[in-house]
Amino acid sequence: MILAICGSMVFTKEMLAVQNQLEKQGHQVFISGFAKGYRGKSAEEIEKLTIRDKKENDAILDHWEKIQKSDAILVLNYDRKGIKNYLGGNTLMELGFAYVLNKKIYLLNPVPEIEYYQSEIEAVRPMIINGDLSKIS
Amino acid sequence: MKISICGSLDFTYEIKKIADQLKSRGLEVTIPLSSEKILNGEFSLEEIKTEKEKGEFSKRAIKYDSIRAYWKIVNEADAVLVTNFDKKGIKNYIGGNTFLEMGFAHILNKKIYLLHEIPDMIYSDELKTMQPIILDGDLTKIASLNN
Repeated sequence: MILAICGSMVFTKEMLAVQNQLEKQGHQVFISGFAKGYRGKSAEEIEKLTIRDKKENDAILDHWEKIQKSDAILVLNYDRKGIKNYLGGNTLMELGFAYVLNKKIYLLNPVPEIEYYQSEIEAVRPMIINGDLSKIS
Repeated sequence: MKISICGSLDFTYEIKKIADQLKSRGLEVTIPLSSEKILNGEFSLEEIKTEKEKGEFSKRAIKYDSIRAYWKIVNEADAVLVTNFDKKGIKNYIGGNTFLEMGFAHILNKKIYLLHEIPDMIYSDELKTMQPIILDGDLTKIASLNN
């Protein structure tokens, strides 16, 4: 299966590890084209870089194109900003893109409780894999 | 020009007023599907509010497949107009569904008009990235109404 990994770039390290694991399982995996440049940077540094890349390098378009080429997306929703299973605005947008393109949507962890868009996350009917990558098939 | 109005269903009556104004100026206008149903009397705004409070609103979105329906509407429009009035104690509120519609417009290269300034919310950075045109409440700033 061809997968696009989505999630906060603050988790670049985890993203690369999950990519590696999924590739070992035989999947083809896309991650953000900017991930390599973020490797080894602190969360604060990555946040600044992602704001720049969203504006100047159209990171949204970059991932849109990857989702189009994929069969499914996997969202890495780890805890962040004091929110369990955090999923940010950019990732929410990618969930919407995957949904309208009829791609499968996997969430690594359960749907977060975020007042403004919890119902939109539920509405795209993600498959929750509870951290178990072998459930992707 | 074909314009799709997006915004919280709480603003249904304000959306209707804006839609009528724009139509009278010759624009082709669509309003949120559920707003249409509220105005047609198919269900009430109070029912929607209760569903939201109970955390059951996603069932309605699934039943009507409203996210895909909006994708289609934005595809066919030239621009979206976001009616971001104050809500939940947040100035110029933009909810998750409207945020998604803006994302669709962005990726489809449609013009995005915001009735008011970008709100200070969890996705403010993403909203700025979409470079919406801020109308400051003035509908005549919509490009085709300037001609």
